Amino acid sequence: MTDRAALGGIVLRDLVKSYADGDRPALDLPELTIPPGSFTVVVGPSGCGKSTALRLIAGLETPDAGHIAIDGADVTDLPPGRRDLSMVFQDFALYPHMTVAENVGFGLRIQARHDRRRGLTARITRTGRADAPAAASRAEIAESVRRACALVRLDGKEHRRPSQLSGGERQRVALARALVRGPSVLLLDEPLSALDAQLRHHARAELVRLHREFGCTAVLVTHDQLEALSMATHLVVLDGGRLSQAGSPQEVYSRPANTFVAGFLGSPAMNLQPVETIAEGSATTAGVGLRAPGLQARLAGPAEPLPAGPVSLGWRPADGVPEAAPAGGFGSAAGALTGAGLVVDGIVDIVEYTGDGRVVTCRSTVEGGSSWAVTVPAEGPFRAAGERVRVRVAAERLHLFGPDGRRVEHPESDGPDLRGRDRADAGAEAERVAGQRLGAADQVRA
Amino acid sequence: MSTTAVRTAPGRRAPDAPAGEPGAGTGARAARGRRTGRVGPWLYLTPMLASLVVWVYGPLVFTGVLSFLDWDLTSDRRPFVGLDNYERLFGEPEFPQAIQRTLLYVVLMVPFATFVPLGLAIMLWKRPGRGSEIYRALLFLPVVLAPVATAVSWQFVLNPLQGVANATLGGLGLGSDRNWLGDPDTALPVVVAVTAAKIVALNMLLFGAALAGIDRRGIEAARVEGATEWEITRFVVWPQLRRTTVLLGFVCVVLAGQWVFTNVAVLTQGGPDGSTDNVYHRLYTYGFTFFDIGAASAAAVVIVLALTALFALRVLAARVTRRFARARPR
Amino acid sequence: MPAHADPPTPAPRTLHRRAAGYPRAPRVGRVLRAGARHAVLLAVAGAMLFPVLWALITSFKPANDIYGTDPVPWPASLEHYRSALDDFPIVRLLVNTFVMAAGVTLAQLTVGVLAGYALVRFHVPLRGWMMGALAVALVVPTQSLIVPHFLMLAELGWRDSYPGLVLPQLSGCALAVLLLHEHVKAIPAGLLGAAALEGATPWETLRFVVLPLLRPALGAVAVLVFISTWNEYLWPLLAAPSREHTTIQVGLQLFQNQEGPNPGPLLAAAMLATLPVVAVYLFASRRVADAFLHSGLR
Repeated sequence: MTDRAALGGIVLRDLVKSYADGDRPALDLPELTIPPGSFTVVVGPSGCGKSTALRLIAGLETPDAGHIAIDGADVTDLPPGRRDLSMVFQDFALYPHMTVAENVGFGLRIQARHDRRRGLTARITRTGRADAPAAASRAEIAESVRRACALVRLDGKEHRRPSQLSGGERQRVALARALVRGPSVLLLDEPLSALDAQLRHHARAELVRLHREFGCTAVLVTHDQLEALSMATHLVVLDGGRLSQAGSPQEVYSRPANTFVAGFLGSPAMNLQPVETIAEGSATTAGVGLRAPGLQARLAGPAEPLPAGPVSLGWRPADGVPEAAPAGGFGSAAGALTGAGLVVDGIVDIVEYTGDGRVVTCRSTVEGGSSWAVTVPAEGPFRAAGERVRVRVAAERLHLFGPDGRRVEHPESDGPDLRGRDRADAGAEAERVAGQRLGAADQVRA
Repeated sequence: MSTTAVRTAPGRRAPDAPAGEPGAGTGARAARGRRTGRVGPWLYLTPMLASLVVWVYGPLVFTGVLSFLDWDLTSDRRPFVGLDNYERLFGEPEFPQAIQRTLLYVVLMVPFATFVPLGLAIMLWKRPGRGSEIYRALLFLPVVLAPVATAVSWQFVLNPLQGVANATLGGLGLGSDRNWLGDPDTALPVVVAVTAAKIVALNMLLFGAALAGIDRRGIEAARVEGATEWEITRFVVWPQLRRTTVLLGFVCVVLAGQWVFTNVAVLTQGGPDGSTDNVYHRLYTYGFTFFDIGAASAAAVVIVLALTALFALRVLAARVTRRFARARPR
Repeated sequence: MPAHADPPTPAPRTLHRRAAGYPRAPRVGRVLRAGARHAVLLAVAGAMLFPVLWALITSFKPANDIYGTDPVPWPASLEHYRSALDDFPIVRLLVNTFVMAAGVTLAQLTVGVLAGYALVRFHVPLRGWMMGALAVALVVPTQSLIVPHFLMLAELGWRDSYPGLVLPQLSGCALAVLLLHEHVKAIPAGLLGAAALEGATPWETLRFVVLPLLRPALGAVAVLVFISTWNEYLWPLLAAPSREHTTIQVGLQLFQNQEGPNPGPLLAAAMLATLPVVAVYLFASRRVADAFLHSGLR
């Protein structure tokens, strides 16, 4: 991880934050790295500490212990205004008494004020330094504001007040205000939650585009897993104030590190069922058998010895291949399983039409079996409640979790080695970003 | 590229933190002390703290000390006399009478702080419109009128010889020789009435705000269920105003004595025969008519202790009710 | 006016409008009921305002008809006003009162804004104790502080001076602090955070973000403090007892002693004493009422 820290980005180390009313820390992160130039999405259910993490990075909260570094510099003791970052707040936090232009330019005006004052002090005390920045003039600020407004397509609305703007426009003002200072870190606290569904989709694309142009390190906090998967180049999943998993969205989605991540990401959610293991030693089918009422599965064997205790098996609804009952009905699931993979039988309970497909929720054919869901094409069988369904899932699409909920690898588990790829990607991404970033920054504030 | 594009925030790279080593340097305690250890907040708070210390708590302590001294303001000697001042206070009839009168004021004022303004506020609330707005504006006027001007006006109206009150009563054949402010039977009711006008006006406004906060849907639901106007007032509106009523009643108990002070001072100076006196006016009389600083200070101490006790009782009562409410099965 | 900067309690204007709106009773009952309602309201208003109204009327009557019961002062005469202004330094007293009220208002607002902001913006140690001290200061009656205040004043040689009139009335600053603290708390925390993030110092945040948003609240608290200080009687009586240096309220009392049995000029002076505040109220009755509403019970 040190190689990343050297590159920059944000490093949180041994970070602990408790609130007076909580019995356990709201956040407890031994180590978390946010790659430079990445669009990192921090996701988790409400109360998982994601907003706390963001506020700690921003400096709006003080950690009980631990350290925060941005681009290699320890900022733990710096006030928010000196961390070279900006933030889009959940409710946008626009100053209601200022126009759009005044809102966007506030930070620059404050900066210029400080520069002027510093210049004055320097002149009075004759300690002027050659490298002290000259304060920006009013015209320069106005020009920066104009460019930032144009960038988020707010031209012509510069003189309105926040109360005269729509939700989407307010969000764009907040963005312009954050971008105008050209920060190296952009923090986004649920910036889309205040928008309605249609606008949100559009705003998502817009955010990704702006990030691409600016190339700053963006950290977005959300509770919406779909938003997280679709926008992130780097995904961080928090649960109960602790880190569940971090990695590229593909890696996190296809190799969830524990049952929480498995259940949280993806819609409809992954089917997770407790299963019991049966050792199988026949010549043709080496490995481990897994069984639950109405369900039979076989894997070539765990890559590591299975811990003692109840094991869960997971599979995504989209990975199931359903087949309709033949005329004579199904035989037992156990009989239908040849080779590795999973076979589960069920009876159609609820069918939800989603437009380009259907989510079929089934209950088990057997007493005591659990229910599960599978996605099927919009047209085709499995329309009516009561129909019998058999679903097969390929072995490489099965996720195995130990008694502690942690992922257990097995020989077939998903093919491409994403971890290797991710690392290579990160390096290339950082380089690409570094180039673009200068360009975009010039564009806004030239 | 303009100067605003200079991206380095000054001071960003802390010299004591080597790059990539965020764990080095300060510990957790430093992190916590960072916000609290600065002088900044105290600059903002100093005016308030100074005001409280110099003009409230310092004087309170000073009063406590003075209450143990025998001092008539003019002499240089202020011997320590222990609890003499307190003994004197309760040994002579004036102060106990003032306490008794203060309680009488409280009892007489409470309805004017609660039910009277409540009724008026409901009346205005039931029929909103221009008329109600005018009444509202008119009925609030006593709050802003200068109390001395009001008192002078009352004095003129109640003039025993030629005042318009007696003239009117005489015209009605009810006798025109009442000495309103000189008769112990009428002086206290007059002081209460003069003060009540102000309290009714203020609390009417506060009840109006509480009424405005009531959810209309509950009232509509009651009307759908066939409740009459009176039943709606009694069973839907009143329960939602009970807390406000209790609060305003309590405030009246605490403040009634202070409210009447100016009127007592201007209209009757506590007379006749101390019948309109109260503890605040008594304190003033001790201090600035008799220059008996010891007695005045002792009275102040008694007043502050009584109010603090009242306040503590209220907090305690609130706590007990809350616990009781929680313990009660739903 | 920014929506969130409104005082925490809902403003009554909108709320009165959407009050109950009861269905209409049959016609005769309706007329009777409305009549009874007006009778009650007029009776109460009359009882509360009659003496002042009568004094107002009388102040315009000629001296020889001063105790007359004719409710119309015609022909109107300004002779009482003229003699009040001649006999007594009324203008001077009004100026004194204005200076005192404005001074106390300014001082309390300054103290209140600074402290109210600091209590929200900073993590101050002993915050709970300070809030407690403010709450207790709210309960301590001014009358119980007059003896030490008076002695301090005498020691400082501030009797009959503006500082003597104004500064001890900072003992009432707890109300202003608590009210403004509530209003600062009502400002979304995000705004303060955004300002901090953009590099604004606490002072700049106060000046450029908090103060503009606090303007309506400041107006309300200012109205409240100004009116109650204008009407203050006890402290000016002790702090500035002389004819030239006291306030109009105390002046009225002195005037009464001076004029004795001739009430005409006294009533005229009383009307002048209450006129400024009533004038403000007549022009902005809603705002003045709001100020008292949100500021509660003093």
